[in-house]
Amino acid sequence: MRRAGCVVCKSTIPIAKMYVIGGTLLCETCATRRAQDIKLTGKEPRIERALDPTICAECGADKGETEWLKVGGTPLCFKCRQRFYEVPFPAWTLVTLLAVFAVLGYALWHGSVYVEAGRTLAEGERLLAQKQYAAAADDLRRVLESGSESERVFLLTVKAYLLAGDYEHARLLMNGRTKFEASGALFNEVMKTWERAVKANDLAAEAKQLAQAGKPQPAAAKMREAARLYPEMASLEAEARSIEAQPAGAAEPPAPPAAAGVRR
Amino acid sequence: MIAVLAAIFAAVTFPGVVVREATHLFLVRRAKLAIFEVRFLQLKPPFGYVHHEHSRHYLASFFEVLGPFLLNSALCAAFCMAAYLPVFELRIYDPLAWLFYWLGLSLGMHALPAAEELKHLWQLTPGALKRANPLAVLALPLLALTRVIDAGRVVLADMAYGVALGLLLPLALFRLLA
Repeated sequence: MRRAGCVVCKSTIPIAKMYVIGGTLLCETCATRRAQDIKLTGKEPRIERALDPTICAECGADKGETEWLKVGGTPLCFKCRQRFYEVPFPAWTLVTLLAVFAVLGYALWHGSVYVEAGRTLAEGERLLAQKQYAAAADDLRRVLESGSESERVFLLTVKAYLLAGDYEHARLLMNGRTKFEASGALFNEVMKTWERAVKANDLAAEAKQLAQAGKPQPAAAKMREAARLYPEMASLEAEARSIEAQPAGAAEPPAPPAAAGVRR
Repeated sequence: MIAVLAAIFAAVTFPGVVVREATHLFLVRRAKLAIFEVRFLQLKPPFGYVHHEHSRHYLASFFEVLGPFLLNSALCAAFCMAAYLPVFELRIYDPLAWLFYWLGLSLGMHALPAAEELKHLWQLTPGALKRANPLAVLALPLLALTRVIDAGRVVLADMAYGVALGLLLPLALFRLLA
């Protein structure tokens, strides 16, 4: 055990019974007084127990004049030191860590199910950007069939169908959806194309009726208007040419191309 | 009010704290450092801690300080990447995917080491750099990043880090591979 003098009252007492305030070594009485003085100034005093390097800070074991080894600046006897070095690793934490890794493995396996759909979506978007609309529509359709409820994927699919001139598939998709939450650029673009396609198909239907009534001239004009409005649908142009080739007064129009003649 | 919000945050994102402190304790034990106190979870900041003596060896300090950060970050990225496609790109109704996203984000939000630990490693780094320790070169940008995030804790930068890691990394990866 080591002894030291209090800075204020100069009394010599064991260091282990002293305090440190602001770096000053004080006995208990002087430390209490100093702490009260500091409190009066409105500050919170920082009081530390003085550490005697010959006394274990945990169990108080006295090593005479020899100092104990310090751990984190604190003198500790061998037994107490061991206690700090042998903190057990609780079994539940190990189980938790292992469980997290197991769940991660499952999550990755679970996520891999969606990788194919994700890859198809990426491919569809790429094809769409390359203006290969029919192929893009096929890919995007498969993404929707995998269970995707994404409005973006839906709009991209409709866009791909419309730009590929496949009004029928676009119509089937659009008729199955009554409400949209989207209102961005993609939504506006798709709606514009959709309205154009609908108008063109209405005109095409009217043209067909006129052609059936034996009025090829106005029928051809309407079909031309439809083809001009929705040029992506090549069959409209072909049908217009076919009506134009029809002799005036003929009751039956020529057989329409496969994709034409659809109605909303 | 802040205390209540902190408690709710800790309760909701507890897996991140537990995993970080469990890893921390594991690495501190591996480094054979004295451990004074361990708290795996509490409802007030810091939400968990391992009070231990600091190592003077750079290698031990590096792993003990940045190990939990790297593990939590890696787990966050992996969980969020596994759940990103059904949750954000495909919008497929899958409660499991949301569960994985919650796990990932909670791990990311609690990835950051304690300020004191970062400070300790930061202080050791110049000396290690002088000794041309390659680990110090590797640690420097990581330390700079973590210290910047740490400085922004008051504006919830640690939470933002987790969210950014869980959302932006899978998005960037998807866009890159697309």
